Amino acid sequence: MSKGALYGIIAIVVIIIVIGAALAVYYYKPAPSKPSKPTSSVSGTFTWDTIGDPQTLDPAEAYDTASGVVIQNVYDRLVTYHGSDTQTIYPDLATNWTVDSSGKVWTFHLRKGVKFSNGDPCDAQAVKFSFDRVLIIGSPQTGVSWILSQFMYSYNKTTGKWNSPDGESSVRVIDNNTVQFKLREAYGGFLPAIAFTVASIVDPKVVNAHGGVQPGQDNDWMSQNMVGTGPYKFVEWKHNAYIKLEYNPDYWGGWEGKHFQYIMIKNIPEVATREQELLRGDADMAYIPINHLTDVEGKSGVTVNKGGLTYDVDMIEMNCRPTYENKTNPLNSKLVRQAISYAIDYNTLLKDIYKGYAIQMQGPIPKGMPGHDDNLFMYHHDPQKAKELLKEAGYANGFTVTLIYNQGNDVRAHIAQIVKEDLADVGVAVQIQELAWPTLLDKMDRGDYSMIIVGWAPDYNDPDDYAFPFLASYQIGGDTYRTGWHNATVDKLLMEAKYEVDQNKRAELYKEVQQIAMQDPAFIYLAQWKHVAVYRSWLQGYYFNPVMMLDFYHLYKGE
Amino acid sequence: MLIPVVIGVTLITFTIAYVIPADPARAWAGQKAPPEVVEQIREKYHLNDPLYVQYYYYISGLVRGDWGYSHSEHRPVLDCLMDYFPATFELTIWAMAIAIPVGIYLGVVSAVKRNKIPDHLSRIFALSGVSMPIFWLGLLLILIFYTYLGWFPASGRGITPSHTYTGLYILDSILSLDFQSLASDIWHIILPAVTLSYATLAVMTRMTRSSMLEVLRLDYIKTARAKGLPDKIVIYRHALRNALIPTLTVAGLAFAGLLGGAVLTETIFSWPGMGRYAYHAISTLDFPAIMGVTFLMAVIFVIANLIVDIMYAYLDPRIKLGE
Amino acid sequence: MSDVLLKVEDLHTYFYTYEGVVKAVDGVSFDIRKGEIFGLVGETGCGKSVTALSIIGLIDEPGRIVSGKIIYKGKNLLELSEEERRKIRGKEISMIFQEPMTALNPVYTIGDQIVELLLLHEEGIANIKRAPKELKEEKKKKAIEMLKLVRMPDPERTIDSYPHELSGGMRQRAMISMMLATKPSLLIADEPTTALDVTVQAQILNILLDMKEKLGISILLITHDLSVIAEVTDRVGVMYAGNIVEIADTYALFDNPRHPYTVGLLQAIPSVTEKKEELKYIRGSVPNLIYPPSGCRFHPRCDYMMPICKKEKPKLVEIEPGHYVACHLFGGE
Repeated sequence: MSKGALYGIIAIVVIIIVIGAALAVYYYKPAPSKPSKPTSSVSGTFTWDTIGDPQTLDPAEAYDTASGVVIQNVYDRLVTYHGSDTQTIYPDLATNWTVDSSGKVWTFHLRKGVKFSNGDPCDAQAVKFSFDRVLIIGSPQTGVSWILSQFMYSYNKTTGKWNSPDGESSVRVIDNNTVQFKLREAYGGFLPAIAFTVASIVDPKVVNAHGGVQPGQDNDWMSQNMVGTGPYKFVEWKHNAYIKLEYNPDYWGGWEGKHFQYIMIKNIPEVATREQELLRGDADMAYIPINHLTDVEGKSGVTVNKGGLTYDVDMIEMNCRPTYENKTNPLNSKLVRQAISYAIDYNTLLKDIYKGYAIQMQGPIPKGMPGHDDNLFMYHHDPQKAKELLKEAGYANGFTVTLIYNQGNDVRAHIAQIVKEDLADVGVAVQIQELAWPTLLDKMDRGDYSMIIVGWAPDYNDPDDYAFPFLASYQIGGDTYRTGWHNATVDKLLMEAKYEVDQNKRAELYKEVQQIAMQDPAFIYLAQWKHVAVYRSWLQGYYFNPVMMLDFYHLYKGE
Repeated sequence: MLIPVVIGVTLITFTIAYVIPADPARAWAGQKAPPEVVEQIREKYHLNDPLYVQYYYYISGLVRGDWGYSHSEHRPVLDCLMDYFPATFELTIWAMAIAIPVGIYLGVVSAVKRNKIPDHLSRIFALSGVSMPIFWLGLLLILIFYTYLGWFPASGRGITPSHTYTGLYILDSILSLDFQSLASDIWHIILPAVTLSYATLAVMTRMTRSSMLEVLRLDYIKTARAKGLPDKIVIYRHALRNALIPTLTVAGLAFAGLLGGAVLTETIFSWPGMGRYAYHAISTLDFPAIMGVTFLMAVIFVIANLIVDIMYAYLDPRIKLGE
Repeated sequence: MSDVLLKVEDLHTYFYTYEGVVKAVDGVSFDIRKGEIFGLVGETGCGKSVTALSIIGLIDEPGRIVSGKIIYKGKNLLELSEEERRKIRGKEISMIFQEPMTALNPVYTIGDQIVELLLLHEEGIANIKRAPKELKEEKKKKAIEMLKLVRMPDPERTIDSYPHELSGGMRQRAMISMMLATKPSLLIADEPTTALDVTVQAQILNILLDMKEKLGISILLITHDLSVIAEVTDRVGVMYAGNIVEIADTYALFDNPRHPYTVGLLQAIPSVTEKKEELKYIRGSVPNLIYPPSGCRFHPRCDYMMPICKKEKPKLVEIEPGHYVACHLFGGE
């Protein structure tokens, strides 16, 4: 290439950069703060630096936290939770409701005059459409529709009818503002279940204009777009980069007081970058993992909020089957599992690994959830007792087990180390295995393991969401962790509690379940995470609820 | 020659991906999915069929423009690639735009002022480029230019241009006359492009230096000087023109390599590119995505090799095309 | 004398290497007259190429011209600035090299390379890309004329060819025509035929003679091949280990060699007419130029060595008109 042409190209590039620079200085520098106008209560952008991209924005399929937070703010549901209160259910799109004595028929009265962000009316038809849709599609990707199909009639693709006595779906339109649910089973956790994102109310007109409802098939448009009745509307989703929301001026809740006009959820995988943006004030809130909190604690302008208890738990599941690897499985013995539960030094674990950001998990139902027994027995560190129990079980000389955890999880890697040391003290040798997640799942499914470090997070605020998957036997649809543990009494109690509508009765049933679970433990109950949020000190209106995602509507920038 | 190479690549990747001892359907479905859903997935994606049947479905889909469905993103693989590839492409182009001219210039200076201060400085610079972890460099640049000086942003690509033509933000901004996004996009690409360019720049410097040193020793350089030509002409018109031949071919391959997705740079600067996508696809066993990325990469490499061959023939009259 | 074109006076060129100082040219003096072909002969490593490079000014690190004078048309070249030397280089004093295969730039055509030279010295344009098209065309015509002058077959096609498309002989012709395009006064030819076949050699030497006739140039012909010297040169200087040991008319040298080294050289040539028992050779080997022998550098290999030869270096002395020898045998003090 001739030198002339080369110079020409360089000149053009330099000119572009110089012009760009000039424009950047003009546009990009944050404008000097003008005195706030008293009339404008909705302004500014809330920038949240976090990790993870949503899987899909369609409530009928979404089952991950990144999707959840967006869906929760853009769509509404019939009922919801307020603030940090986990014991009471509040009205949302439904203003009030009644239930009959069988517990199977629920009648909801809807709020009048609610519109979707595009002006379409949100009425009983929309409610019916939204629920039916979830069951007709049947969430082929994630299976989230199980939450509703537990207690609602399912759909028959071939006949085009519902599998109910009269062929109709569980949801019936009584009039424009009244909806009735005729459930297949009276489900104890019905209200908490329909507060979850899967029960979000979508706009039938919009769905039908974009592919409609196809049995067994996802709606691609709905996975990338949203039209809801919630406080914020969907603007843009740049995959792996950010999601932008804008306030919905017609939101039925109104815009009294101060609110953010825009929400920017930025997907930033590198923790150092998130920290820098938070410290500079370009991010209002950032996800900082526990082991990096010291980077930001004490820095001026940054608040580290440690109040709040999540329902996220860490446990170690034990393979309770009679044999493992063609040999007698020591973990089959109740005494052995008790021994192991005594062998763990919970306090050191909580101090060193969780750095005080978790409490010891008290049984299979997390603290704060209705049904949790605050007086439940908990194991404590007692190596002496552990050794006695082992001797009693016939394993005075100990044995070897494998402990699996998923690749990339530093916290669990650390847990595995400490557990190994603790068990060594009582004569149990531990071989640690770090496996890729899919491989780990595979082994779990086939029961090809001794112990695996696992975790659970809530779908909705009901003990059935925890106790059943952990403790119910595989035969009745439980044992999600494939521990192979089963107890006929527990099965009976869990089934009863599942379909009992009287919450007090349920609490009694779960109390008994929890006691048995502690006596004959299938899990080592390690930790229940506290909640830590890191944000700029000017951020107001932040609160934490273990079953709700971040609520943008109540946030605002104070001074 | 191209087609067999590409087919070969897809075959190998396909086999490796499917031979991994893990059940992809289970992983795609998620931990909480009931077994029926898992089985549904298996049916839909022919995972129960023998490998060659699956391969057949895959190739026929590719040809029809159906590159499969990406499970980690719940949308077609082609859509994902159309999102992420231009991002990586743009970043790579600018990284090369920095690496090549600067690298060549430093290499020439090094060779001409051999063993003097400029040579030592530029060799230290080049060595640091090759040995410095790109991760560390990126964070360092963020610390200096974002946190302390506040000149450049630390994450993202900037404002999306009002119209998308190519997916290359800067070009699209100019085409849609959206100057606000142009400014933002230029500002956002500078730090990641510099970070990404560093290693290639170092390589270019070293290659140019050694190539130049070899050429400068040759007889025709003596001839050129004997003609009374000024040093600048001898260096740039006579020596560099010859020294560039091996150097530019290396640059061509470096470009193709960078296109594979500079995962680390993209992670640090939250650049939504192919590197991050490929990494995520691998860790979630998203086979269609893995295959899609690999196929694309194979095609790119083949094209890059072709271009390099053509460049070679153009630069060096001793080499004829078509052999 | 008024017809002396170039006078080299006591030239010392040393190379400062890691192993030590290589005294490649250690006190060399000779002159070249207008219109003559002066041969510089000696074995490999005797310093003839270094002498040539010193004259044209292409000695690079770690080499340096330490002392001496090179007087060209009345001016001492060593006192001129690099700018001024470049004006002379390629224009008045040109040089062609040994390896025609590699002496031309492979990525440019013959035409481009000749035109470049013409543009530089006739128009002052150093960058061929900047020159206006008509000017380049004009120079190209001139270049074709030059190619015709050296009897290049099919000059119109050759002008647009690349070096690798031509044979060795054609390349050397191209080099010669290029280096003579500016009609220099002195052409330095460093082993121009060494890499060529004998028949091609003859052609090239003929061209050189031709050029001398047609253009009136002087040629400094450097070679180790005595037969080339015999064919072409008017006068010749014999170099050994960085010094000139004998200068004479070519005929006189061959007829009556004086210096023992010269004698040995001539005797070592295999003869076509006589058949001897053994080929005669000079015993010993070429000395290390970092630590050369004291006094006369040839003394370790000389059959006529005297004690003084070890102590004092002999000076060049005119023993007959036009015949100079540096040897104590002939009274060099």
